[in-house]
Amino acid sequence: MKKRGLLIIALAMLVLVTPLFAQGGKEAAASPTTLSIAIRTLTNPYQANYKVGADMLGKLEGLPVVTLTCEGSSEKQLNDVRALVAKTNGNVVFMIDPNESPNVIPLARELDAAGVYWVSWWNKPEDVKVWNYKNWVSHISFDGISAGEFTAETLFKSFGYEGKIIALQGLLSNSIAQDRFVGLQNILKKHPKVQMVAFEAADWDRTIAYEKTRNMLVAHPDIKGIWAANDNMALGALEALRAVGRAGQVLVTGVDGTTEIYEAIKKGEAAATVYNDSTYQAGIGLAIALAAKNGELDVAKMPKEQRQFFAEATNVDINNVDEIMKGASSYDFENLFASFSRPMN
Amino acid sequence: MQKDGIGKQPAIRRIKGKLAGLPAISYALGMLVLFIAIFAVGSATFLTRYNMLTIGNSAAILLAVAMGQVFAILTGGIDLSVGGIMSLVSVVLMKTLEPLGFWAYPLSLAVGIAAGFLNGLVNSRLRIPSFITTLGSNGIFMSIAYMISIKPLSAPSSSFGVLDIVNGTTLGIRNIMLLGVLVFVLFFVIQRYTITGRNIMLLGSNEKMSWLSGVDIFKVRTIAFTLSGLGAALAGVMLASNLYSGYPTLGTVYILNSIASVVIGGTAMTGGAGGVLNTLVGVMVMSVINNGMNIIGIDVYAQQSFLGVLVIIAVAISFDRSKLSVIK
Repeated sequence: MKKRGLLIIALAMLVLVTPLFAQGGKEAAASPTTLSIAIRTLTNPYQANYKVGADMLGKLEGLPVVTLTCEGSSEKQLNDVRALVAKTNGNVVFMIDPNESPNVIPLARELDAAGVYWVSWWNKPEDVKVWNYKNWVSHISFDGISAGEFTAETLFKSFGYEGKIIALQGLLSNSIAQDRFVGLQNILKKHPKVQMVAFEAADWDRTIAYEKTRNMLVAHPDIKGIWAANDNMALGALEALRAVGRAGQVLVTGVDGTTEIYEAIKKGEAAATVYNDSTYQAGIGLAIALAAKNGELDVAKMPKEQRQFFAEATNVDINNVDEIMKGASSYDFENLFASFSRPMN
Repeated sequence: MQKDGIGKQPAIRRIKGKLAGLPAISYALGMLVLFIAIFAVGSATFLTRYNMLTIGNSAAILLAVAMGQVFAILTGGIDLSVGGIMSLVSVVLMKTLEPLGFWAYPLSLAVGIAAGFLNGLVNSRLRIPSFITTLGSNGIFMSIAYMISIKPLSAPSSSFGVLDIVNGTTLGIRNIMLLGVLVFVLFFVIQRYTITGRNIMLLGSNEKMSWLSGVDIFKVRTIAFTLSGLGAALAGVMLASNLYSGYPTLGTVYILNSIASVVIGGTAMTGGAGGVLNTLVGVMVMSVINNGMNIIGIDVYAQQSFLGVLVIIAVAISFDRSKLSVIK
């Protein structure tokens, strides 16, 4: 029994150890660079549009595209990235939407060691700096402040910059919720005749937004507009307005760019939203990483504000809602930092 | 009435008849060699050193949790709480890394061992089936992790040095792989060379007999689940260090993966047959397949069904059902 056990161990070890000394295939070096996006899933439309953008750039550059989905597992994301680096012999660039923000650390270390250029979107811990890693080209996030400013400005314009408003905030612990609210406050300061008479946190939730709006409408029946930090809450507020028969007279605004809010904009019940275009996110992320890989961008010499920055999303109001709903047919992936809004410290 | 059933031999049993005499582990080893061959032919880069290290890295984590799981399964039970324990341990590690430094590691391991011990106590003393005990405790451990932190915790940059216990390299080999070898040796010795290890096997193969021969079956069960907790805790600290983060859903996928590794290795779900060595091979098969499917480019959504089919086939060919009277 014991002998057989030892034999089996020896066999198993042999099988795994032999390849350690084998030489890797060399032919991959001559093949075209693979463009890869590492995202969460393809079942959510926002995430699925990442693939549309990656495929678009792939077609433009004539390069193969590989989509890695981690389905909510940080470990799978890291292992899949490693496997693709192995598969392509390092001839690959990545656009990564990290499953959880701390995951950028092992990714950055791994890809630095492998010499693979990559760009991340949305989340990273604040104390982790892109410029400490030589292959992490950029980290980009959409700008919550400019989104809050645009929707507030459009909302105030709808009632002639004079009157009372109420506001619905997102989850107070989220930095993006705080940023969008800062945007609203900036515009409030610009227009002293607009007064925010009440604001509440509705935690990004449609039902909570509905309840809170109904309560606030009782206390403040004379408001002229409702600002919300996302579309979901804006739609909840809109239902509350419909319940009291004031939809269309009092406009709402949100952020995200959902089909429902577009319909509301067309019907004249909502004033504006901001569309986070994941098609563009994937395409431009890969374009930046590819430029670094091809030597068109010297990462070491890039200014810090190009290494970590906030980008401006697509503002949507009555003027361009039809166009946005049709979907853009082409994007500018040449001008790498065209969407720059402000540096991220 | 019964004769009809006996007259028809299932096809699988006829094939098995020809291969009779081979231990269950040889099927798993055959599968391992087969898959390595398939992936090596399918992709020139599968056998590169970089990729082997990648496989070794993820295998080490799965190995630790499966080493614990196999003890629970050997007693005839199952541990569905390994995922919860891993998640809890990961959160504890990240939370205590800043104040405690290196000592966060023993503390986190102690939390995992205590969790396993509690499972064992509830299972043996309150006489609640392990399936229910650990299904419930998995939720409890996850919920405690949520209470410690809802958001994912990341390692403070000042602690990166401490994490190199797992992430660093020694003599060109990643430490995590060396840890995996140590974990294997530890559990191998426990199963083969300690009385407890033998008692666990005995308990799984025939509970009544082991009780009659004077084995303290309560104690043995408790120890088996404590060992499972230890395995999960080791996997939890390894994975959390690897990812530089801990969060309350970190270990969830390991519940099924650890059970699948044990089963693919040929350990009987009814207990008493198989063991640590089988599980080592099962873990290698799982890790090679997980990596290889990406390397040769199998669609991500097809991968899960592929694994599912594999587990069922593995049980069909490697699990020795001739000793069982009833298939539950």
